Amino acid sequence: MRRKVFTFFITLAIWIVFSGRITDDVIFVGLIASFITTWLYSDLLFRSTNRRKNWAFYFKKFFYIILFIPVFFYEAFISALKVSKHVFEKKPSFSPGIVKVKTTLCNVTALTILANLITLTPGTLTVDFDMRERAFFIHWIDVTTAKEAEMRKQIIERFEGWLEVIFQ
Amino acid sequence: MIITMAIILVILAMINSYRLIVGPTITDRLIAADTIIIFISLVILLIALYINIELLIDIVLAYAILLFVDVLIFAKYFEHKELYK
Amino acid sequence: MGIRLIIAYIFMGGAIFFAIVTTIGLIRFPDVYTRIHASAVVLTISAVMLSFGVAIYVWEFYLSIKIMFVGLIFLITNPLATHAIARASYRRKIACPEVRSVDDYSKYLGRDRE
Repeated sequence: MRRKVFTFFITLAIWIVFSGRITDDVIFVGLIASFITTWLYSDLLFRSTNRRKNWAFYFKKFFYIILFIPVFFYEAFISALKVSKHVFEKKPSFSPGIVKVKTTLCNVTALTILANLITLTPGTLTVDFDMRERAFFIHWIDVTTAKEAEMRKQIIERFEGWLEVIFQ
Repeated sequence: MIITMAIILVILAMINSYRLIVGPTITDRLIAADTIIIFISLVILLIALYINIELLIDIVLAYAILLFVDVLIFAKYFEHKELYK
Repeated sequence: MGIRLIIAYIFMGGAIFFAIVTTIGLIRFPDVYTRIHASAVVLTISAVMLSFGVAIYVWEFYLSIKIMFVGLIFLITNPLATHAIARASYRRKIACPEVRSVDDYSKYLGRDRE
């Protein structure tokens, strides 16, 4: 029941932001539309949990999400600069290869965001994910080392701490 | 200033169509089409700023989501080609 | 011309610079996968920066949130789409990487096919 109430208010807020103004008819149509959406699809947005944490836990999570967004933008911007350095070389020099990197996360959403972050960091591109061994296959533009630990340190260790706190 | 940026983006999209026509494999063509569509949607955003019509922003939003679904469908089709015969 | 418009123009100019970099990279790079790199990273940052610049230029509450939402959609969906393209083109052998110093993925695919 609490899940449906949350879904209803979130869809109503998105409707109001997209319509751009608050008048009577906009609120009326939005109430009907978000009621239908909640009634049909409310189990897609949140998953049901068995045990319930207190409010401070969720507040800490939300705070870390807010703090994580500037880190995301900063990493993406630096990576774009590093790739554009490769563009202006006279003859682009690479030594590409596909490496395998294991991870310790187990939440599906955290894995998706980690794959996105790996794609946005310089010179790496996620190709596939192995579900049995929990390993990413990453196409790397400049393979500098072949050891597993150093690869982990260079590619994913910066983000795992953040994502482990947020999606636990 | 804004209209200059829009013109630059259109010219870049035209240059990108070289990769769309010549590209040796199908992946190059897909990447080039993706790039061109994103450039054109950014041009629509700039034009909405230039002539003050808010409705074009909704069109950009729908365009972005449709682009994502489009590319995903193409990629899945090329991956599992024998299923769709 | 206030300080806000100057910040907006800086964002838009950076976006145009990254768009030019994307085009040059897409024309010049020698391999399919390196072209995917140029398209995934630099193009995403270009789209996000241009939408942020437009959002700062407009500076109304609802409209700015909507335009920032456009940038957020580009930031989330474009790496996913390029990842799907790369995976499909590797699995179907449409294009293979030129220099393979390390290649763990072909071993994984061979094990999977048995």
